Amino acid sequence: MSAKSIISPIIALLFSGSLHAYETYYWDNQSGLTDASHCKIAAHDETNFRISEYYGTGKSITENLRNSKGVRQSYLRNGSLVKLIEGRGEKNFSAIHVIGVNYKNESELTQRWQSARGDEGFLFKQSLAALEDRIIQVKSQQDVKELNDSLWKIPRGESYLKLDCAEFEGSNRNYNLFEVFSPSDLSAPLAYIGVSEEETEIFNKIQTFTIDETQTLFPGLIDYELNIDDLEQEKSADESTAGSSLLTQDLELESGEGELHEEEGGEEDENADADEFVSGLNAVVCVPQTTLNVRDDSLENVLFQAKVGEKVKFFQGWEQNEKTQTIDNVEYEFVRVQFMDREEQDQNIGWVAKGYIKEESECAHLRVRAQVTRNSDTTITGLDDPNCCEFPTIARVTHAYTSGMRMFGARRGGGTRSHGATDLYRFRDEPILSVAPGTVVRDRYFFYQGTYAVEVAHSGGFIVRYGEINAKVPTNIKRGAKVKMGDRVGTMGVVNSGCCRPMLHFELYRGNGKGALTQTRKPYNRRSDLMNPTPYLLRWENEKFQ
Amino acid sequence: MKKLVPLVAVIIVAATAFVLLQRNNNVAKHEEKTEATEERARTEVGSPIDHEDTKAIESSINEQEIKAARTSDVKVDPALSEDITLLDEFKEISAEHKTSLLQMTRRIFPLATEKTEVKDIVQALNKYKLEPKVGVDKNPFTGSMSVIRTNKTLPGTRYFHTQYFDEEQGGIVQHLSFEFKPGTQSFEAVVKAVAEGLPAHAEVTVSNSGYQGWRNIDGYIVWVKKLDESDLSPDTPFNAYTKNDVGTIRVVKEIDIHDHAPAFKAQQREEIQEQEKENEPMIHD
Repeated sequence: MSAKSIISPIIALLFSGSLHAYETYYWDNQSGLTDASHCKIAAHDETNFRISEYYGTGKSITENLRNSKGVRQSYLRNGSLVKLIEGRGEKNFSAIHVIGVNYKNESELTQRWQSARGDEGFLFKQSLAALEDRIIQVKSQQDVKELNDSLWKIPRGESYLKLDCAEFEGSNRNYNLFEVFSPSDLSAPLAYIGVSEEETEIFNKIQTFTIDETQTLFPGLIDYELNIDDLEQEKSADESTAGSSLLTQDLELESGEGELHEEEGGEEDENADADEFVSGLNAVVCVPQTTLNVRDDSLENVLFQAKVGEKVKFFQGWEQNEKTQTIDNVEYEFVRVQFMDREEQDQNIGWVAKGYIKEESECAHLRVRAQVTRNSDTTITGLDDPNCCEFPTIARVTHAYTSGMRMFGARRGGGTRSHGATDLYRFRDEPILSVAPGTVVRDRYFFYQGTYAVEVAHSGGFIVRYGEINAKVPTNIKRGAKVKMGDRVGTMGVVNSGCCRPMLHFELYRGNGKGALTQTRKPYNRRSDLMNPTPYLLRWENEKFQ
Repeated sequence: MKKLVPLVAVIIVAATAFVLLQRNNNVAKHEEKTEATEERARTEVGSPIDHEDTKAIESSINEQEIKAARTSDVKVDPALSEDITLLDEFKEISAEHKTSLLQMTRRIFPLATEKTEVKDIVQALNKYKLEPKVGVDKNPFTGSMSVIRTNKTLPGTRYFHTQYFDEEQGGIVQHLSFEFKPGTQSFEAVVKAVAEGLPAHAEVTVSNSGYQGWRNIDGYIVWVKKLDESDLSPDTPFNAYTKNDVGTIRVVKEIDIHDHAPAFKAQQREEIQEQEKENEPMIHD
């Protein structure tokens, strides 16, 4: 897209550091709307946000989102918000990450093969329109209800605007500035809100409108232009009201840095039991308040706040991963951790007080987690239900799974065992779909040669292990999560030995067996209720791709 | 002159006594300091200190160094100290790290079998003071998976991880892994250490400068990989990574799923050839 020119020095001067007349915020995925009155506003030539539009002869409401092989992996609705992935791209195609899919009602989100937030792929370069070509409506925002159905537009001018908060936060983030309106009052913005490319959950559910549609539905909105005179009058108003309450949010930013509880150890006993934790080894932030400070290497500066219940991984080895620091005459032990499940890659590592990281099952401050129970969705009564089921890949497999080494029962280990699954060949990073409604009963674990597996208990009683998937799964895929038929449960992986093509290793169980799915039981090394999925897969595939 | 001799003798005796007294005082202080250090270290570290560890600790009174010395509390198997000659050619790797590597490949790695139980692994890890912790992930549909990791690590290694699945009777180790510190000779050293511990009937399946694999190990495969950036995604569960971890050596033993028998390999070659035909430029419909 063509770059906008730099705005005039006079306007730049007026903007720099002084636009607090209207409430100014930036969006943080963890803490929501954050006061940005301390940030400067600067002109910005470029933004990596784009809007998707079908390009070509004829008409289409979607554009093809392709994988690196050029194969269409999903359909991206026109008007969806995406961001460019820098450093990647083919000759006529740009690598993109889907931020928010344009939809008009909930049912549209469940259409087959539709791109979803978080998808990555390649779009034809001509299919990428400028951000200012659409108005974005944020459909629902639970934390800040005033933002429900709010309308977001790029301020009119010769350049994009961004919030620069580096001086206060030490990060180089660009917060692309939006004017945010309430649909019931288009006379003036509700607020100015900056959104960085790293934290975009605010756009989780959106609908977008073309300029023509906006002129009809929201007359006056397009024509609204930031008026410098109004700005100066507002600047002279009492600044203590700045940042207050057109939009309010209770942000509990108390930090938790209490006392450590170093445990006394007893005599070493080779036969002693290890500490045992139920529901696996999932270390989480565990504080009585809402958030915990995460610090930089010096431990002097707070980088960001982590929420109670956020999962972390401990660093081990090579570098220093533990330190002590005295704060307010109290000595704390700090550990370096990495936060899982964060889309922002530049805010997922830091130092936290060790005493506030506990195993999930040991954290008293977490709300009672839902037990892993059967899905209440009774749409599917079993494998033989006429409504059952969805084929787990988005397109036909590239190689037959009824023969050769891919088929169920194929010889392995020189005949000492048999293949307990069917291998469905497609392409790397393609979505893997849930075949039926169900509950995730086991989250990712190491499965085979650098790939992972997820286990889902489906309504109707049967169980599927989706194996050889990538580490990256949709953020909602966690232990206990409910999935609908067709929901993404992962992406297709490829084993690291180079032996094999990318595939989904699909295992099906009747659901009346006992114990874990992998067992010593020959010839499959699997539980006794293992089934041959081939007849079902053939039926689902033919129904889906006829 | 005769009067001077006794005086000199007295002076010599006095000087000697003084020196001896000083030495005793120093020894006493030294012992006091050692005891105090041991007591403090014991309190903070939470475990008895072996006598040989005391020297390491007493030389670093600073609390930060005591904390850093926690990894020296892990127990090295003395029987391996001579065996590191196996890895003599790898001059850039310290003796300490070589010992750790052999300890993992000879003492811990072989525990991944169909007959091993969780307590066997915990016992071995306790023996080396690695402070194992076990997470039991269980549900009424797919039973129980025990994950075993450690709070402490042998020098040069990290992220010990085992997955154990239960059955109606007993269970099975499905996956056991650890990582070794990156270095120019690390991959070769790890491959050699791992290979030396495999049974004679193990077969090499893949062998290149960054990956080595074996199969036919009583239902298991083993692979050693030099991790690159694509392996270090923050999405990976369990292990935390940064870009600085490129070159880390990952060692895994796990239940075999695919096969690398000659017929299988031939089929894969055919499929790779087909795949190469598909590598055409992307076009817009």
